[in-house]
Amino acid sequence: MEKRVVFNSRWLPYLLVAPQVAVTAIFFFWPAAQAIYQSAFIPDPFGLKTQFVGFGNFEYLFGNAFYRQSFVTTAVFSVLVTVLSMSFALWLAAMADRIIKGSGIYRTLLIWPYAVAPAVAGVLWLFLFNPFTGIISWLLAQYGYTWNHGLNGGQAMTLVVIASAWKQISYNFLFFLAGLQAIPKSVIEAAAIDGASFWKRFWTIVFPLLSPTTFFLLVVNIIYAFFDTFGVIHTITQGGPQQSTTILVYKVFADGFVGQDLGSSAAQSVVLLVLVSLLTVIQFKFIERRVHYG
Amino acid sequence: MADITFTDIRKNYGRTEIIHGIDARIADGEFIVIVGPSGCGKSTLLRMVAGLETITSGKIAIGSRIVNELEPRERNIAMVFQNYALYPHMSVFDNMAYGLKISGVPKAEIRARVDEAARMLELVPYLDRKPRQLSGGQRQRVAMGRAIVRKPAAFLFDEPLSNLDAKLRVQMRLEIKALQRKLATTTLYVTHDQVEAMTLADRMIVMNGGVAEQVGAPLEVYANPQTLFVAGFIGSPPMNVLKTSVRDGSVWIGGRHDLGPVALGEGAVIGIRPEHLSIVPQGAGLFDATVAFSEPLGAETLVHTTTLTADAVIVRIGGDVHPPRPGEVIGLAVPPGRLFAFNADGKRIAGF
Amino acid sequence: MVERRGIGTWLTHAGLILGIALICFPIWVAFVASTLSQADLVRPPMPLIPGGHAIANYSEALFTGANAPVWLMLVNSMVMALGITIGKIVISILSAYAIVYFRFPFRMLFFWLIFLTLMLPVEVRIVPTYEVVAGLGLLNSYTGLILPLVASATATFLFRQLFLTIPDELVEAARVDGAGPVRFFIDILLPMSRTNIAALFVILFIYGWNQYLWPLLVTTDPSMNTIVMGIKQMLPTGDDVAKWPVVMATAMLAMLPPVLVVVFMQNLFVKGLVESEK
Repeated sequence: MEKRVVFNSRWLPYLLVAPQVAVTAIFFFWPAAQAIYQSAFIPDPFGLKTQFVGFGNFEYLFGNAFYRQSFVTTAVFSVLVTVLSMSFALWLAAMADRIIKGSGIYRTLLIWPYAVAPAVAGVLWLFLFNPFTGIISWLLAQYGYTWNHGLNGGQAMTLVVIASAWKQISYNFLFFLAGLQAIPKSVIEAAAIDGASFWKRFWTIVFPLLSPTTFFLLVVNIIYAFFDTFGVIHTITQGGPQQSTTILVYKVFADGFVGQDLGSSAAQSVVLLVLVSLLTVIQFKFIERRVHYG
Repeated sequence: MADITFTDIRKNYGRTEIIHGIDARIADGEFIVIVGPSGCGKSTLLRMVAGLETITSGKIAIGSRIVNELEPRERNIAMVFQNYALYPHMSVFDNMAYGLKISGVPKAEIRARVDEAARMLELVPYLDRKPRQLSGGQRQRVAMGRAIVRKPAAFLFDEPLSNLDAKLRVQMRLEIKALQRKLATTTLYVTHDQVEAMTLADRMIVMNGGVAEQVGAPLEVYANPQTLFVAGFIGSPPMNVLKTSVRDGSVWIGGRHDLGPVALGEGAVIGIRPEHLSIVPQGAGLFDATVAFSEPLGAETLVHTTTLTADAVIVRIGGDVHPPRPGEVIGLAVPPGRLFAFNADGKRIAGF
Repeated sequence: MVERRGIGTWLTHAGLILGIALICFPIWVAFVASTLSQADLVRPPMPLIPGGHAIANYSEALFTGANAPVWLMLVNSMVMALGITIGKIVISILSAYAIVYFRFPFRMLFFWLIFLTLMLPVEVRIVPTYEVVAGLGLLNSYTGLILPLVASATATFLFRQLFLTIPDELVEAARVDGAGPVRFFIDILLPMSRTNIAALFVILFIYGWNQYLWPLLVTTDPSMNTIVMGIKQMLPTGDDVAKWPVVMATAMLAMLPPVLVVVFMQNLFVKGLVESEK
């Protein structure tokens, strides 16, 4: 889209974009270029010189069982968080949409978690599931189930999934609710007259018409699970036990900052870059599609 | 096929009553038009029949069943909405087949019924298209097709032609009438357009402010309006209304004509239809009027005049007659029996 | 609609209440914990009604904290959040204005460059960005906390979209009235963008306040800790027992500003969220 009427000025536009371009160049592109550049080198043991290895770092990465495992862990984690968060949010939105009076109150009460930082969410759920003092771990113990996510990888994954999904429910709820309310009431009435009960209407009419929102949220949730959940992992499990909750973004941090392996970290960053680009492109493609329904 | 009965239907929103007791009996196969201005409650009434609004008190019966507590899908009715309400994600075929699929009709029969409706409505080339690929008129037909295939006890139309352009509206009117004759299904049709009402209805229910002011066949309602509102609403151009004044025990209109000592009551008015007035020389008719301007429409000309008592009177004359000039004073004559009298409450005074 | 829902209505409300309970449960527990004493918490199950230790816990958090008193961390967080929010808004609105209302060489190039930054969240470039910031001497500074996060593609796109919907006639009328580009921007465009700016403010403030990874890397001096990252340092490592009441009090304080902003500016927030993703 273009504006027909514009201002004429030689220097003003450059001045206006300068701040953004400057920040972007210094803090985005330059580091990104560095990452790509560094991914092709490994430092020597003394950190004084670097040696060009081309795709060597990448080969090493993908040959590394831990790194491949991290891919699997990330995939499992993302799928679980996305499915859990979206289903629960959809159910809540469907219920809230059905209520005429009071839906405002429900909405207010349900959007809190959006404001909570992932790291803080991690702390909250860590407290609930603390193996020694947590109230939920105690409850489970009453039924004979011992909870210690510090030792049990499956439990650790469960905990970080719950904490991450919990935080995201508000966001999904808001979008699903908006999507539901955008469906014309007369279409629902027509379906009711045609003989459809509430659930029939939901699955044959409402849910298909909600699909642009659903696709959009799917992509956003996956991006969230990939990147924004660093705080959850760092506060609760630090990637453990035994790397069972080391998702890709955590590994970049762990290897780069803790392990000081700059080449590998750079290579991992590049891999993440490719993944993010892919997801972002998909997201924008689907945003275009949104306009076409209904 | 079924008859529909309204017994003292009332509807409240909160504490405000908006429908004040409607009674009517609609015979099986009848085409009933519920007509009235915006806000009179006609759509609400229709939606109560459909089950899209609850009934506060009174009873609606479809056939022998009282349907007050039945959900829309249990009432065996079909509805055509003002904005068509087609399912955007389904093809035309699927839109029409939806209701049948839900009730478990076998696929072959669905195919047969949809094809038959599509042929009747000239939709066969469009069966695979989605609603957004169709024009307004085509979507309208799909909405009707969706109603037809279900073979319901009654059709409900909620101002279906409002969103179409004038020419299309005229064409669709005829098609709807023909369709209903062919299918012989009881039909309730809501509109604010009195022309649609006149051309489509077997009988009309004229509504105003939540009340059914008159129920009857179009020509009957036209010739014999029971209230001032009905007289003014049905017929275009509307009926002329003349104020009355009482002088020496006689009732006068137009400042000149003496109706004699008839008992009309305070604030009564006289109604005369434009086509019942004829132009005669000044002083030779019932009363005089000054011409303001004329509207030549081709087949007829509408002459706008003002009487001595400041009533606006429209006269209908033939299109090939030379209309009087603005400013001219003319006489207006009315044949006997063409005067209507209404009292101050708008009710028709019988026997006038 | 006539619907024989019967218990259906009750189930709907019950379901929603259950959902809300599940959502709010962690926060309630945290709140209660922040009002109890350590002794109450050490042996589960902890009571679910608030106790009387609120003042003690919150004071300890605020004035002692872990490596830094919480009040200091709150200040740091506020400076960072406001800095990021205002910075993002100012930079984006200026760029969007330039891109929409001017024709200049490299215009589309700048546009695509900004678009590309969407693919570069900080998590993807942590090590090199850290090196750049360190190289510029910006570690442990507000500038270092704020600046790298301040270029935003989403805000720029939002403003661009908004400006595109403003009728051309306004610009023409302004020009006829003698307004140059700067006057037009200040007197006409800005006031018209008020709602969008407010909505964005809410979302960006939450984004800024909740930053975790970047502050973690860029601050080594505890006096520069933000509250969201500072909490982690209060958690037990190994076999230590944490002072949970104080930790929970800190958590409540960490959540307070964003939650208040969301709840009180709810309508703006929802509008901004839904609009900014279009």
